[in-house]
Amino acid sequence: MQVFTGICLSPGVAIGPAYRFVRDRFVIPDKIITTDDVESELARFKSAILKATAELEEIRALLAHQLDENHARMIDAQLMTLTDSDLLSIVENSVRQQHHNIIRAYYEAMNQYEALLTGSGHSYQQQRLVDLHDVKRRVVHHLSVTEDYGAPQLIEPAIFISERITPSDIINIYQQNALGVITQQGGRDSHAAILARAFGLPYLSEVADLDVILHSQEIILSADEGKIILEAPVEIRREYYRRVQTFNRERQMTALRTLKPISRDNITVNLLANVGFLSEVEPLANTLIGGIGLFRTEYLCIQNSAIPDEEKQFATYRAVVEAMHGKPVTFRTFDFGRDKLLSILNLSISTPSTATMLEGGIRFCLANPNLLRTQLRALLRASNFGSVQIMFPLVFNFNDVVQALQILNDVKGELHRNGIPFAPHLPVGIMVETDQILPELTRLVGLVDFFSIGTNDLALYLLKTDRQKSASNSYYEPKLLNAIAQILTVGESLPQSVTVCGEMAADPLAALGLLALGVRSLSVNPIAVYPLVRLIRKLSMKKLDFLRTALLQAQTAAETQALLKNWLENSLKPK
Amino acid sequence: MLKQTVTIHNRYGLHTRPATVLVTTASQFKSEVFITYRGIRVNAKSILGVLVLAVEPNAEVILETNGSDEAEAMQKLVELVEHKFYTEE
Repeated sequence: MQVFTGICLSPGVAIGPAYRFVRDRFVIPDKIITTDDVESELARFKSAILKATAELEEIRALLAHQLDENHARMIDAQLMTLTDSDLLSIVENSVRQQHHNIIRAYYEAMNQYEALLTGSGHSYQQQRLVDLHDVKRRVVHHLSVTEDYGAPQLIEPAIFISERITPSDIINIYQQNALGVITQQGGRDSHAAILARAFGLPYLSEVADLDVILHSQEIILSADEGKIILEAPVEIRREYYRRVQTFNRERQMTALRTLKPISRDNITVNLLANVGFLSEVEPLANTLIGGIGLFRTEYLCIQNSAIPDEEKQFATYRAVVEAMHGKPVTFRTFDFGRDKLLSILNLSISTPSTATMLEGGIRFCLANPNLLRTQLRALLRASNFGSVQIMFPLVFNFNDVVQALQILNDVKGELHRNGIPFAPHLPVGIMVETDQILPELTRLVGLVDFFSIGTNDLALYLLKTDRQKSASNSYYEPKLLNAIAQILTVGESLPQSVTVCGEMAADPLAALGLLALGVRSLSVNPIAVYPLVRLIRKLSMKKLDFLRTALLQAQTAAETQALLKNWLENSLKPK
Repeated sequence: MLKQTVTIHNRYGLHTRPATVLVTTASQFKSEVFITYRGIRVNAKSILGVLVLAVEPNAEVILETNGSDEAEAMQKLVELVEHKFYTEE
C-alpha cells in the first residue's frame, strides 16, 4: 500500500481510475510579419477573441444553470479580460508598429500583466493568475489551431489528475461525471476550488507524485484526510467503498435540496420517487422532488407478514402524506400475484382462480373486494391529511377500471354517510402496463385523472418476452417506444400528465428516450433521482424533437439505442 | 477633471469581484476614468489594469474622471466604493 498526501481544497471521498489531463503546450513563433500582413493578423485576432468569448459565455451559462449567478460571476473577469481596451491597444500597437506576429504580440502583452500581478505579492490576487493564464491559453489556442480549445474529455467516471485545473475544466469534468480532482498546484481561494466545493467534487492539491499515482489501476482519494491511497489491502478498500457510498448519498441528498430538475431551456420535469416504506419517504421530504409517484402499498404486508387492518393502513398512509407536506403521493392499491407475495402471507381469501392469481393487480383485488374496500377506506381517510392519489395496477380492460371505480364510489358513499371526512376530488389513475388496455385508453378519458406507465410489464406484454430475460433490453424496442408515444397522445386529454414509473425511467439512457418522446413526469427509486436531475439539467428539451422523430422511425432496438447514445455523448461535448 | 481620494473597505481589497463591478460601471460613462494607487495610475475601464494595482483592504486610492459626464461618473463611483461595490453583505 502506498499513501500520498496533499491539501484538501474540497472535502469528500472518491475511488476510481485516473484520468490524466495535460494541456497542449503552445508554441510562440517569433516571426516578424510584413506590413501587408498587419490587417489579416488583426482580423485573425478578432476572430480568436470572438471564439474565446463564445466559449466562456457558454461556460458562464452552464455555471449559472448548474449552480447560480453568484458562481457564474467568477467567469466575468475572464470575459472582461478578453475585451480589455488597454490590452487590445497594446496588442494592436505591437502588431502595427513592431510587426510582431499576433500570437507573440498577445502572449507578451498578457505576460506583462501576469508579471505585474505576480509582483503585487498579494496572495488573494495570486489565485487570479490561474484565470488570467487560462484566458491567455484559450486565445493563443484559437490563434494557433483550428480545433477547439483543448478541454478534458472523460470517457468514464474517473479522478481528474493534472498539474493544475481551471474553472472551465471543473465545469466540464463535472458535466462528464468526474469523481474527484488531484492537482500539483491550486489554492483554497482559486475559482476552481470554490467550484469544486460547490459541486461536491473531492479535490486534493499540492500532490507531488502525479506520475506514480497515474500508474495505479484504482485510486482512493480521501480528500477529507488529505490522503491518496494506492494498492490498498482488501479490508481498507472495503472501508473506503463504504465511505464513498455515505459521501455520495449525503451529497445527493444535499444536491436534491437545491437542484431543480429543470432543463437548460427552462423546462421543468416532474420528478417523483417510487417507495414502499414510510422510512424511505422521510429523507425525501425536504428535497425538490414533486412527490411520490408510486407508493407500493403491498410492502406494508411484507412488513407485517399479513394484510394490515384499516387502522394500521390508515396510520401509515396518513404518516406518508403528512411527511410529504402536501406534495402528492400516488398510492398503488395492493398489487399481489406477480410478486408472489401471497405465498408468504398465508392469507385466508375467497378462493381465487389460478387465472386471477397469475394476473394479480386490480383483478386480484376485484376478486377479493373486501380487501380493496378496506384499503380504499384507509386511503380516503388519509386524504384528509395530505395529498392522496389512488392508482389501480395491471388493468386489462375498460371494465376492470369501471369496476374498481364503482367500488371506490361505494366506499366514498359509505364514508360520507358515516360523516367521515375525505378529499372529495382526489385524483384517480391507472397503471398502463398491459397491451390489452392500450386500445381502450381513449374510453378512459373522463373517467380517470392520470395514466402511469409501468414499463417493465408493458414491455413483457407487448413483446411477449420472458420475465427472466433482462427487461433493460426491451427499453429500446421500437414497439415499446411507439406504444409509449401512443399513451402520451391519449394522456394529453387527461387532467394530469402521463408519468412513467417503471425501471426504464431510472436508466439514464432510456430516460433520455422517454424525455424525447415527450414524457414530462418520471417516477423512480430514490437512488435514481439524483442521476436523473443531473441528466435533465444537461439537456435542452426543445432540441429533443429531432430525436423523437428519429426514435419513432427506427426499425430496431440497436438503432434506437445508438441514436440515444450519440445524442447523450454530443450533448456533453466540453466547451 | 474631477479628483477624489477614497478608501477601499472590501475585505480582500479590490479583488476580482469588486474590480469587475468597478470596470463595468466606469465603462458606462463617456468620461475617462482613472484610479491611482501607490503612485500607479491605471485606466479604470481596464480589468487588467485594476487587477494589477492589487489594492489592499483599507487602502486609499485616487479616483479621477474627465469628460462630459465626469460629475455623474464620480458620484456613481464614490457611491460604489462606499457600498463595497455591493459585493459584501
